[in-house]
Amino acid sequence: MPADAGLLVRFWGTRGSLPKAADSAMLQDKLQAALRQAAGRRFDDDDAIERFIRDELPFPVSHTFGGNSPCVQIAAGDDEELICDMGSGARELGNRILAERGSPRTYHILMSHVHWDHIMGFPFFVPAFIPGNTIHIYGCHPGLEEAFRRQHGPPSFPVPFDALGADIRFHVMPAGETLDIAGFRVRSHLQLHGGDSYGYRIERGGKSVIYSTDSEHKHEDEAALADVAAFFRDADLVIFDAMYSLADTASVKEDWGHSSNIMGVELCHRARARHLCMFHHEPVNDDATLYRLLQETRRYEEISRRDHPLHVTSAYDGLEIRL
Amino acid sequence: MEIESQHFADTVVLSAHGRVDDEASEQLKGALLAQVDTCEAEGERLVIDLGEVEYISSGGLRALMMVAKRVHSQDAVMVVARPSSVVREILEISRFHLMIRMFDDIPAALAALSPQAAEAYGAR
Repeated sequence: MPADAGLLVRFWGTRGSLPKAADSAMLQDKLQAALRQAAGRRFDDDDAIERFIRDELPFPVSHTFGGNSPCVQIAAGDDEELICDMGSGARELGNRILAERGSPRTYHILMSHVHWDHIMGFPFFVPAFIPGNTIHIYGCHPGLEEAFRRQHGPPSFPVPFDALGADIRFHVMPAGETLDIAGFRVRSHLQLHGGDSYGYRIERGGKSVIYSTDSEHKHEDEAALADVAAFFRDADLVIFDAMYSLADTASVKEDWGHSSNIMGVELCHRARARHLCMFHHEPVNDDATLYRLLQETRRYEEISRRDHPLHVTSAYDGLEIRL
Repeated sequence: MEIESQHFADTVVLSAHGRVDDEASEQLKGALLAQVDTCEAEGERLVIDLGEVEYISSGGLRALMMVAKRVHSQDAVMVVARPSSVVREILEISRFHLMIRMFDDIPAALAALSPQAAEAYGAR
């Protein structure tokens, strides 16, 4: 990636609460759908098959949203990067970086909070085992280091934290302040979630990314909504917890600490953000359901749009967004 | 936006007219919450008639959500009638229709809530 290429956001884990494994029933459904659509067709070579899969099969047939819990990489052109959260997606990310860039290397990790789905990938983040690597872990929770150490302790994991080879340093940041981390300007924002969570506004080279997961927004709290809209103001990309429906967040799942697609559109419209990326997917939802939610959200954005169009996508493991 | 109410036996039909934008949503919320309280106190049922609402903003949607929460917490009885195609779409995308029943017309809504109200409506 050239130095002036802006930011590249890569999603390594996009599920909320719990990783979701693909299963045989899901695979068979996709195969049936693909074969049904290919019935009567002739494919002369692998290229023709690849084109058919790429250009003609619907997304939920040719892809999966994936099943890893949250981990997002925000890379800049000069080989600097931030990693948001250490969910189960961190395993693949660590392996990729090691394979491409080797060791020693310095990593910078921002933690939204320390619930299990956001830290469970760290014991499998191979760079942490390699002497010579340095890993900086930033967050606003006073118990940040304890949470990481505890999941390495017996009987949960066989490798004690102090046996990890890398130099691992924890940095507890004051909430609401702006810091410079690895060339990125990072501002935190306290969010409504059990035990608190923090959203981050990450800026570099005139581009801005909001990482806002595990955050509930109350319909009736106008002051809090206005604060969030100000935090999102003019962002190029908002990665947003859209785990539940609006009705769920107002009824059975109220106070569960998560938000909805409708609230994401509303806040991004108010903030005049450019791109809403739905994130922290409910593990119960299959690919067809998540794709339908994306289509519905795009339709809602169209209906409710004021004077500022908002691009809407839904994160999946492997998605890359260039800014 | 204008709001008017009509009584049919033990049921109130609250009809909104016009666009429910963010400004009008406060008016809608106030009127609906007051009516929910009254209905609960009087043992009456409530039909929200959206037949003349051409658009509902996110603020209006939030107002309906707040009213739906109040209805559930108070064990009141409320349904929605005659949403336009766009309003119905918004209510379905938000899954509001899973919290509050929706009916295509007022007679169907009244019939579901109270035979006396349906009869009174038919005898207008």
